[in-house]
Amino acid sequence: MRILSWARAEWKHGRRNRELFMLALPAVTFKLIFNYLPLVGLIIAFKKYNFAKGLWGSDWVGWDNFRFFFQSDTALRITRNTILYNGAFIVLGTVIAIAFAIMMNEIGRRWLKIHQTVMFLPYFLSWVVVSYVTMGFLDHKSGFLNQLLTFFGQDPVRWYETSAYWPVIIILVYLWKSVGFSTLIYYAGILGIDSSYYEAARIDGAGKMQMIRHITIPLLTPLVVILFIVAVGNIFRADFGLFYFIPNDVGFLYGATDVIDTYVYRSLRVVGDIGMSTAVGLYQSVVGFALVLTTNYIIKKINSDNALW
Amino acid sequence: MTTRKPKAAPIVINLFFAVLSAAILAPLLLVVAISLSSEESLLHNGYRFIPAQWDTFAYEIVLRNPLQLLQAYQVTIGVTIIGTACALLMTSMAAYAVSRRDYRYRRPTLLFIVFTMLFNGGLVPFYILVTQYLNLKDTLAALIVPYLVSPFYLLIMKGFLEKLPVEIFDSAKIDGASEWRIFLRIVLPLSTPALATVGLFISFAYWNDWWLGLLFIDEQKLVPLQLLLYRIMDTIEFISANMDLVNVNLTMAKFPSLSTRMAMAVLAAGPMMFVFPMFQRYFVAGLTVGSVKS
Amino acid sequence: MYPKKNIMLLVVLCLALVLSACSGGNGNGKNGGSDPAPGNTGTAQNGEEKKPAEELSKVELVWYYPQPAIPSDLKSVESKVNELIEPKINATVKLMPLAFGDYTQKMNTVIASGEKADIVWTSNWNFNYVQNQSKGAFIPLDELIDRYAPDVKASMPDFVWEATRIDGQIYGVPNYQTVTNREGFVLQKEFYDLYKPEAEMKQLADLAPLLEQVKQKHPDLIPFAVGRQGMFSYMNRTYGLESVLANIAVIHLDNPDKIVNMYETEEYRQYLDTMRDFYEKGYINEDAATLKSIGDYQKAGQAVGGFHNVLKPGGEAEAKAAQGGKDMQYAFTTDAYVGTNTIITTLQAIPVHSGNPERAMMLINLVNTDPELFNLLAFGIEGTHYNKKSDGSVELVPDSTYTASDWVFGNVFNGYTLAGKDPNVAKETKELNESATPSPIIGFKFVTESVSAEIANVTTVIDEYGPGLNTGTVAADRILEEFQGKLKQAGIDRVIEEAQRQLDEWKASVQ
Repeated sequence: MRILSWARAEWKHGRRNRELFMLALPAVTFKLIFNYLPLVGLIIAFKKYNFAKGLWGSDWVGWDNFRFFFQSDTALRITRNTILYNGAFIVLGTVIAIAFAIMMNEIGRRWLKIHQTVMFLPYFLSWVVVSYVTMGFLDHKSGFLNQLLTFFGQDPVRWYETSAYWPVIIILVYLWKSVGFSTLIYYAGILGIDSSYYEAARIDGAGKMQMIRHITIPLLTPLVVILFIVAVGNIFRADFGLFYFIPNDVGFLYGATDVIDTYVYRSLRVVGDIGMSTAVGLYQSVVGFALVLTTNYIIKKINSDNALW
Repeated sequence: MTTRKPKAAPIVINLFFAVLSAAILAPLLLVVAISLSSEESLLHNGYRFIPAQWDTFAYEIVLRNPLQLLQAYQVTIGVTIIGTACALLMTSMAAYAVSRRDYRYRRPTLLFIVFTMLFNGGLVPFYILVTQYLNLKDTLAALIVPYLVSPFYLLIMKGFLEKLPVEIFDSAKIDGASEWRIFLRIVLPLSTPALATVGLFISFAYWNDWWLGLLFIDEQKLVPLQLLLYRIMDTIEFISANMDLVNVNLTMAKFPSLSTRMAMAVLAAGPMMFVFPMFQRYFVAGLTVGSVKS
Repeated sequence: MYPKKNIMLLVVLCLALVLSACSGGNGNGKNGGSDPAPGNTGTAQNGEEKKPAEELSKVELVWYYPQPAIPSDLKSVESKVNELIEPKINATVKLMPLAFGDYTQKMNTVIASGEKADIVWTSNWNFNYVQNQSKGAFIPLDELIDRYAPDVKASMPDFVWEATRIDGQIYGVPNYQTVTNREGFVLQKEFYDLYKPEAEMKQLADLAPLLEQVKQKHPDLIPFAVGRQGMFSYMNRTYGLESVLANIAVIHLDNPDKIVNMYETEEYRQYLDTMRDFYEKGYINEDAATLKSIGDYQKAGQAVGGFHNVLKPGGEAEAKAAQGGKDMQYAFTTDAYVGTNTIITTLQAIPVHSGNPERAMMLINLVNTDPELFNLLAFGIEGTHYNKKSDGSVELVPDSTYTASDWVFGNVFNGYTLAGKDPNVAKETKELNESATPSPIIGFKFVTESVSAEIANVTTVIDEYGPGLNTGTVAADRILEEFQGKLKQAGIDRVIEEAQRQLDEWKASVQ
């Protein structure tokens, strides 16, 4: 009986939400087909994949495919690198992008267009192209930086053999390529703020900085939270192109530049086992999902308005 | 808020951005400079901002088969326009639904979407789905459909839409408007900057894609721009690395691989310099609630 | 603001797109899996072999192979090919060239998804033959070859076939070309003639006097160009070793029954010391340990010396193009030899999901026995893509819309010679193939599946330590022991043990 009344109530709710549900339906159906159906493929992580036997027929191997990753003594190093870099990207990326977006909102339209376009351009270049540009600056014979150093009477630096510089280089290159993108998101977010808030504040005699502190930033917080949660979910996943091409896959630099994705790529290059690569991917997904749930839970405890759901 | 402001601040900010822009632009100029340098001078002198020896050979190689290139531009432009329109619509519809705090299935829907951002079943099942169940191989749809709903853009869109004041929905509903009507008549017009931003991102995703083409397109006529460029590059690299293995005219050996790569980057990214301002037109503060009501 | 009609139209359009996608799923779901086509059982039916072609039902074969570029005029060649083969085997073929760089990934996807493919190209360096066989990708071919391609079998020496066998069965038909390797130095002729030392150069250290001269007199050139991999893996034979698992396991040629860790050998240590000496004396480019490829130095004509493990007849002329137009001179450090890995460099296999293995083998047979067909695939259509010259060689038309690598298709000795190439090369190559010293373990293949976790980890250790050591950038005294320790920790001993076990088993089975 209880179930029945529950079902009846739910049916009523369903009818009331019908229109919104229909609005969400195409996207939901789409994700169901393109993301949830292929998830059966994850069982490869627990199988020794055999072409002749196929997905279902291949032999189960339990946790064997995870062994190579957790057994390696570099697992700690690459996990640390991945998390630290992504952490730095999240903090720096967000702070800088918000600052830029707020500043952009203060300048005239004509210049704004130019600045925005320029800042966005690096986003179009592939990491491979960027890696050549980086090499143009860092090459130890003909690179600009070393030419500059020699010009000032300093000794040239072997950039590609000294891992100590690389955390800075990687972060700079990352910011160069991505800051236009994230600035644009926050800029659009600021544009979406209802101007009546500012009018009211101005009438109350609030200054620019006060408005930024008390209106702009609080109203941007939900957007920040969304991007933050997305980034946290991917904290175990590194941008392969950035970490593989920019340091040019040089062995001397692995201590500072090797991340989970590059490590997995290199180790499976020879054996080419989809079971193992799926296993690592699954591990990254599970950890990422757990982190997303936790983060959202914590945010919700602090201020339920800002949580993602 | 843009009407009255103190004079000094904008100038300082402008100056700051000018310096920043110059710093960001420098490496890009290097890309252009390399693309216009002769391979010889690159090999001997390294990269220079002003080419030691000008050469447009790299562009000639890429433009050697102009018909194919035009066709590829056509495919990519078509895919980008159709794809962006469809994706933006589906994304904003769903984003609107989950942005409404009174939507009963908001939480499950969001969880459902976020989950897909983190988990994927890998390449093989996806390939089987698209080629064998949806039969999209060698169709334009194969280049469009897989990117229709990206959870990341959906969440950003939700973030934008959430800022719309709830009161307007309430008053519209009192007037008897359906959710569809609210979405089309109130939400979309009020969110032009949001739509422009997300639309821009989606169009980049389509414009830059070569991976779907690589997987699903064998028909030469349907090869998108980035895949065509990627293939030309691949060919040049392979030939210059394995000249003894290949049965081609030996002049191919003189193919300037580095400057060609840069020329391609310029050709692929160049059009975006014109597309970007088109979207920028919509980066205006959203209309106020009052103007919509009236 | 927005014309409502258009928006609704878009909604409908998008929904239709999605829905048609869903319904497509229902409609074709049954065809999705790997459907065993009727031809699959054909091997077992003895009746079919004698049937003339007309009685076979018509099929379309799909042939995947890699090429440097996908030719824009593939279609006209394909239809010409079909004109040739259809009357003979009542089958047409769909040519599916892929770029070399994409080949492995794309083929993994095609095979794993059970997509139709009847012939796939494979090798030990791209879409790995042994690895994919052990994953069940290919069907055994012995019976098919005996029945449908006896001429092909006869066209190659027996040891070539032995090299393709895995667990006693042939899984790939080699595209017969040069099957030998010969190691040696590749030097700019100008300097070779000037500074060649009295004694023969048989070891790395023998090169030192020449390099010293170049270093002294031409400071702007690189005496010995080395990339980040170093040379040792290419010099195995020069040091009296043979590779069992590239970069990891070797045997000593004078004790071929014992597999050892390459990095623990006496010879490796010797190599490291010589390289360190070279590096300190400035013979080697300073950026060797971080350099991806020495190609740029070669193109600029700056690389005076280098080492190569596949020196072949006619190669000096070909090397010239890669070396900025400088004349090159070989100095051999070994004789020509053949081993499993010098042979399985280009093969055709028939994947498990092929519905028509017999017809696929008939096509492989035709490609390898019918020069007209082979030349069509390798050079295109006469008059359109190439022209024949009076001496029988061919010349590609400038900017031809069809160019291909011939060694991907079949027996290259059936093909035309390109104009400007030495016509005697083919003959020399063939002679060399038949006279070369065979490896003591020819035919043995290490199936790495059971130790792939260890190999994965060992690979990354080598990536980290290899470049510094192998290029002489880092002194062995400090680092070698640490490197060896890390390799052990990564499980290299288990890899060696497994290889030894397989070798012992193989030895017992061939005797």
